[in-house]
Amino acid sequence: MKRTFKFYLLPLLIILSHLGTSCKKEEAPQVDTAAVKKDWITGVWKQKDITLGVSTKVSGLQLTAGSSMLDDPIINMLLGALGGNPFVFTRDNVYSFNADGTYSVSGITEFPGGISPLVAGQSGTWDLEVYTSVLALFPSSDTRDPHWINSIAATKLNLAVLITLPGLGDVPMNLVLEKQ
Amino acid sequence: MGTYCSVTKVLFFISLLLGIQSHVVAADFIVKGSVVDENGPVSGVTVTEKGTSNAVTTDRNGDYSITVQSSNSILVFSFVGYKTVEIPVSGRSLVNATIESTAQELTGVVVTALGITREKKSLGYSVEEVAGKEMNRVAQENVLNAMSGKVAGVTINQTGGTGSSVSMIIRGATSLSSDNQPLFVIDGVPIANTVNNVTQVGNDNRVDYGNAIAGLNPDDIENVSILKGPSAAALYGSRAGNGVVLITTKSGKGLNKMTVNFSSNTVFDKPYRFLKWQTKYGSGQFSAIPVELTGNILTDPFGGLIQENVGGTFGGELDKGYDAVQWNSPLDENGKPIAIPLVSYKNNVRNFVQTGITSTNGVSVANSTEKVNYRLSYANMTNRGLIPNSDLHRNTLNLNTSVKVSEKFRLSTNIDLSRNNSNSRPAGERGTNPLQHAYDVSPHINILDLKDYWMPGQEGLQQRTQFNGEYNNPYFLAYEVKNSFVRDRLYGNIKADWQIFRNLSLMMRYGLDTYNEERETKIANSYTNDPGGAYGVINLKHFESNAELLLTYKKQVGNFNFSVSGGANARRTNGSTLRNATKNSTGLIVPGVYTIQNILPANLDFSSHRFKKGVNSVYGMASVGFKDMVYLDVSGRNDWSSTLPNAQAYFYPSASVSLLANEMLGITSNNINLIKLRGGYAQVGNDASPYQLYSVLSNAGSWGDVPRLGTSGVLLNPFLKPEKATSYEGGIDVSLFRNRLRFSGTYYLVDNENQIFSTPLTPSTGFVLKNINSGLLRSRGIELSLSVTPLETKNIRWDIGANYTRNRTRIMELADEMPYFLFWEDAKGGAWTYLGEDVGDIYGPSVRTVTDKSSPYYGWPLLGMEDGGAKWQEIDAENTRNKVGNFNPKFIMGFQNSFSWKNWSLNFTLDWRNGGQFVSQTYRYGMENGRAALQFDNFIDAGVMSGKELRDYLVANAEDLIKIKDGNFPRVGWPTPEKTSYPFEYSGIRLPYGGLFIPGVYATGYDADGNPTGYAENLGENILGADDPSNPNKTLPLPYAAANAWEFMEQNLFSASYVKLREVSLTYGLPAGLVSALKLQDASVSVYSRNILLWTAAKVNIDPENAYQPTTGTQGGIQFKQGIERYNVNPLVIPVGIKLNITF
Repeated sequence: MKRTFKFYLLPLLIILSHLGTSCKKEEAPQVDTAAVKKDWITGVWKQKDITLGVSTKVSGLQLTAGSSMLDDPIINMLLGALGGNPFVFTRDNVYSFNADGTYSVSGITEFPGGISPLVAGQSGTWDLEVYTSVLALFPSSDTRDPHWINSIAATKLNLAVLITLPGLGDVPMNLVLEKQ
Repeated sequence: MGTYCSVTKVLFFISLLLGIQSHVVAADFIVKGSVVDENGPVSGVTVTEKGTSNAVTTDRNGDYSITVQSSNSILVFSFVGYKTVEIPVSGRSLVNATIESTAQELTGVVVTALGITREKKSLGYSVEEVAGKEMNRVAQENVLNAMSGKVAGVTINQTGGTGSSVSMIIRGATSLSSDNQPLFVIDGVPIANTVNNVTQVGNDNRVDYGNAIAGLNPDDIENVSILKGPSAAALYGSRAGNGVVLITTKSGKGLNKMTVNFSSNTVFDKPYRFLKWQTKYGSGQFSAIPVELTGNILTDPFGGLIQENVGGTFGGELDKGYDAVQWNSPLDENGKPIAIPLVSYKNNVRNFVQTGITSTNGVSVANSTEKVNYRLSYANMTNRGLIPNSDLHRNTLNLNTSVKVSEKFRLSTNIDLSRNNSNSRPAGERGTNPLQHAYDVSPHINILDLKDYWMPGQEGLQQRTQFNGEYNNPYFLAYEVKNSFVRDRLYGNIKADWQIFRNLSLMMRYGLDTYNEERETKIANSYTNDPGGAYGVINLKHFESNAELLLTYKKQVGNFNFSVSGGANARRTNGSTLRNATKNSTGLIVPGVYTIQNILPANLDFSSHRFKKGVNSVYGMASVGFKDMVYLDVSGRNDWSSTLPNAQAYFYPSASVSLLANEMLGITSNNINLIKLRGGYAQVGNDASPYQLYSVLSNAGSWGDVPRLGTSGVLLNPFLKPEKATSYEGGIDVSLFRNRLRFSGTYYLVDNENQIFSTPLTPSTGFVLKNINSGLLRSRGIELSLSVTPLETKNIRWDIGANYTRNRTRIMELADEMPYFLFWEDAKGGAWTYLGEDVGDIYGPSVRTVTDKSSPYYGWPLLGMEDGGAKWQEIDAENTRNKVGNFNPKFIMGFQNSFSWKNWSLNFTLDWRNGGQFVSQTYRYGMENGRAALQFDNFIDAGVMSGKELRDYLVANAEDLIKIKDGNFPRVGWPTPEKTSYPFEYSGIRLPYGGLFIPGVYATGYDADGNPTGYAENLGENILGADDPSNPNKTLPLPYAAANAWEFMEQNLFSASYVKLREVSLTYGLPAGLVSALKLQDASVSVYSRNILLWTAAKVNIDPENAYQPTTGTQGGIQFKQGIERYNVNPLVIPVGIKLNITF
């Protein structure tokens, strides 16, 4: 009886073990993406650049996506007509996202002449939202300033900002930061 | 559609008419008697009062005495090695019984060709039988389904839902020009049957009206003999190529009193499994996220989370708390739609379909006297389909009677009248098929909101959908596309049997089979493919008569038994088709008025077709038996057919031998009951259809108002010959241990030559095809069956059985100009068979890969630029000769179990089909339009990996994550940022997510021969060149809506292996005491289920058996593309049935 049992059990075990191994799908290493992203964002970030988010034509002049709002000569010329390029004053901005969920900005975030601010407020709290794809800033309890994370790595962060320029409307831009 | 008396009324009427009387005595009653077999008294036989434990055994003289509860009790005589016999006491005090050895079940009598009964042991070929009770345990709308899994060598496939045609293939398909269905013969009358029952009125409204054999009431069947091979069927000559199914109907024979039987049967089909469709994203081409949440206007580039006019469901994510303007948004005071919560409806198709209900009620009255026996039956079947408003009805009236005019002369007749009809048959394939559109309802829509299917104020003119003109409402299709039919059929025969002398007999028979069928279609306004509606009527008529005689002489001379028969048959067939309908997409003059007059003359599609055919035949057979141990049969038939040139004669011979080895070796052991070796050779044919020899004029439409006639584009062949199948088969039958273990094995080989088919011609000849006789198909296979009776006691009997079928059909020869034979083309591939290969092969396009073996990228996908990114490139199926599968199974196995204990019996039949593949176009489209959840299985989440880290990870796992294998087409990314999702370029704008990239490489340049001169990696580095414009390895993602592999058949090719519980039933027979108290002869009640798909290898919730895509034309002799389906996706059901059977 015992022999019979073994006789049937052996092929069953072989089949089960085969099923268990052959059906396994190749998976990427499992990591907690939200935790990693939060860890990456936490820290002090130096502004590297502000770039244009989309290609467009202004006054017959072609502006390409990725052009620097700080250094591109055509942009400088166009903004000069509005009274000067305000973005150059943000060149030394430093953004601190602290582990306790607070943030602070050292530098210029608000512009004159009806241009909307780069980010809301100089300090407040921060969080990741919308599947951790949005860095939301809360300078006060009733204000929420969401920024799309265009790309993120351990030392590089690219945030979407939407700036209202008088006469041009809402212009998508990218805030390019580098970790200190 | 006609009206019929209710079953109750009929039963009442018959009861009155026949004056049923019964009596019962409710006191102890002593019965005595003796039990004998063919050799005399049998001792030890158990005599039981049915339904009780009251039992005695016979003494050494075979005598018994038992006290029973009632003079109406039933005695059951059982003994190992003998058939169990039941005899009603019927008031008698002396009841003698004759019991029969079960050895005779194998060596007993079976019905063979031309209805000739033969001893089974004498046959040199395989004949398999299914008893009528096996066909009736559970209700089946089509009698063929009742044979599934029960007979080796026979493949039954239901091509669609209830009421669709059921295909029966015996020993594999052997003809390239016919539907390969066997010849059905009921009580000697050949009856018409085909699986080609698809017609269409209206654009994309293909309806399968079901095959005519479905008109047969399964309750009328006594037994079925299946003549599987040409050796068995040779006497049917030019009709025997696909085997023959002989059906014998019930008669009153053997009854000794008036017997009325009533049966009532109802089965509920509860839908429980549906396609694996996603309910995560709604209509649209991009899964937008509200800007107020993201701060990025590019997360909502199309100005709304839902785009109702888009066919795909790549849109806004559901159940995230978003609001969106939708198709049924209320309007504010300014008439502007108000955004409402965007939520998912996960049970749309479940809510659309309904529980199917099939009720069958039947009554029969039968009796037998010395002079006359008769049986009259009536049955009604009503089906409510899974699709709302679909139905199917069958009413049958059958009379089977026989009169003994004198001791030597008997007249008999069997007449069957039936009506099959439906008020609404749902269409298959795509177009008006309600299931297609139920599955197309976006998950952001509640299908129940579509139930009111007319636009308010536009009733009868415009259906209500999420976007009118683009979508069809499934309820509109179910209720306003009406495909009705009525098929009235009469078949029957009158037969005279004359025993001229003791050894000489003559049988004369005239049989006819005729049916008229009317199909009518009404399509209301606003169906997207026929916006102006459609109407049409198709009338089909068919008639066949057979007049035949058979003279038989039998003689025993010493140790030899002779039987010689000679006969003749005159067959006449005619039929016609008449069609009047709207041309596709032309519409009716007045919406909703369904008459032919309401079609403009220029929009009328009209045609008529009729045919006549005659076949005269003479045939003969001789059988010689020596000492009951060696049997030799020879037969020959000569056919003259009007559809062949000059009605030239064709001769079909056969020979077979049966050797009873146990008799030859003198084995007399009780444990070795039969060892039979058999072998057979035969030649049979497949006749040509009418109009295959000479061209005729036919309707070619009109040129403006001028009607045109034209000839066929096929060059016909005035020298056509019938297909000729030459068969060889050999086998063994063994019966051991008092017949409790029975085995049968057969190997066969059939060469089918002179295949009739069409080959292409250069159009400059004036023809596009020509008909030829050519080719050779070789089928070979094995059939095994084993049955065991492990337990047989007074109260218990347990029988188990298994059968195994393996068949291969190979094309051995083809016409010189044909590299392959094409069965069908679809889904960018098709089923065709090259010379020397097996029928059923499926070919699909292949993915272009790096072919330079010295390259590190060898075997990786070579991507091309498409849809704004880098995508797989296809090499078409014909050029690449990329065989992806075969639609035929490797083997089929059936398992039967029958267990009875006292008054209880449990039966089940399992059907296992192993191997083979099918293509699902439903999933193909589901992948393309974002509905199929399976797509997500191939999406790789990169997590936080990016750049070189991701590239290295993909390269390290290239076999699984880069190369294409087993139908997996890897993509990295996700529709939303829920997982890694990449930016992509759309009309010059870089959208921030929703892109997926396809791992592989693309060429950076090509030489003059078109070979790549260099490769760039598409492995996640340098997305869109954003990191380093100078890096040639620029990964180019595609929008999610375009990142699918719909071009490639392999993605949607699934294993066709499955296990089905064909039947399971539990029956309880009422105790004899109760039966007699109720003045009955017998009564039982059963609960059962049927056709439950227990397991599929594919796990996509499609029944692989339904991989038959209907067409309106024929290819390879059949109107179905076998091995592929498109919206033939009825939900899987759990049927629960109950059956009540009462005999008065």
